[in-house]
Amino acid sequence: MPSAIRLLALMGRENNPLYVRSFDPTLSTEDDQKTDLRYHFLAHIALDVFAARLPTKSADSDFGLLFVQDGIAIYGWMTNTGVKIILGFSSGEVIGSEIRSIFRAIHFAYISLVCNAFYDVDERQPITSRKFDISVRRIVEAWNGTTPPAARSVSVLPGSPKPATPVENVVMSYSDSRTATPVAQTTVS
Amino acid sequence: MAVRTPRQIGEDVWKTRIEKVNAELVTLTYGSVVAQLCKDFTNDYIQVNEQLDKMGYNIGIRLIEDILARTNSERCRSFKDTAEMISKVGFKIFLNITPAILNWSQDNKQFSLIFDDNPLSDFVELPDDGKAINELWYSNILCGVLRGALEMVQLQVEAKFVSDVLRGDDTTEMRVTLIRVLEDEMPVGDE
Repeated sequence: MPSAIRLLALMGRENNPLYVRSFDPTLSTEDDQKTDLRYHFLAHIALDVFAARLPTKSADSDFGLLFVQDGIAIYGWMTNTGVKIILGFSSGEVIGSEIRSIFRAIHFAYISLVCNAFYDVDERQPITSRKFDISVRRIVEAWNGTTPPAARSVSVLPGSPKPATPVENVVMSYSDSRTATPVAQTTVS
Repeated sequence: MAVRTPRQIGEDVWKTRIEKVNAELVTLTYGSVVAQLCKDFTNDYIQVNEQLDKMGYNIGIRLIEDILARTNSERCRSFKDTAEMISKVGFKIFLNITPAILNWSQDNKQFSLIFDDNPLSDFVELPDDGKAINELWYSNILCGVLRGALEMVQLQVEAKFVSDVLRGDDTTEMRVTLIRVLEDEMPVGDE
């Protein structure tokens, strides 16, 4: 089964939740609250792993696979300012470089957010920006919806040729991020 | 020397005679100015618009000297020429954008500048207080700049934004109206 993003969370420097969203197509909006709770839980577990790994971590912000719980693989990324980005993938293989490109795209969306003069960076409040919401949703949906299955469920068999990675779908350059449109050509509304 | 079009002048000056500065620096500086004004005036956005316009005016009356000196341009013959110069030279060399000139009025005294790209408003999302989106003209400083600069070349204009993508409009449009051409007035008792 191809892996899809099920959870995206941003946690602040003080481990305060900034943004937690689940992308679970099987659940109706009525159930959102419940699932949110479950995904909040996963995001908070991830914080402990971040804390545990931090002492041995060098400059690289990629924390890799943190843990697997309830069939969801949690990957982590921490910026130099201590903001943690947490992604949860459903079962299936994903390659590191692809994950990194998503993290980077989300990171740039966050940079665009904090560059907004009206956004209070000291704020402990969750992110309410619609622009940020739209841009990360686009990143996630571009990944979940338009990535060719062949590239998503990357076979880990030795010797099998690497499929062309759909990095273009999610990679955003810094200048692109200023226009708040990820390079994803296929816009999912 | 052959007569150069405003576009050529703009390109030329932009390439050879302008010191460049990082765009984020400009965006963030302007952003914090506006955000601070909003705080100082406790979100009275009408006041903020006015202040931005005044600041722009003070920039404009100085900037015009600079632009005329750099471009060695001739006096504009019509308001249409002026519009061309504003877009292709003025905006080009200071912001590296050339807003489109559209919607001329019948009497050729009104036109619109359409900004496809506005470096001032990169990253910006207006405060979500239900008021800013209807009242604040985020880039209003530009109106003041035009007003100030044109006043120094004997053109009294009114410039104001009529739509802004930040407010959810499709385009960012500034309407510029020529009110009158000022005469070089003799100081009283100097005849």
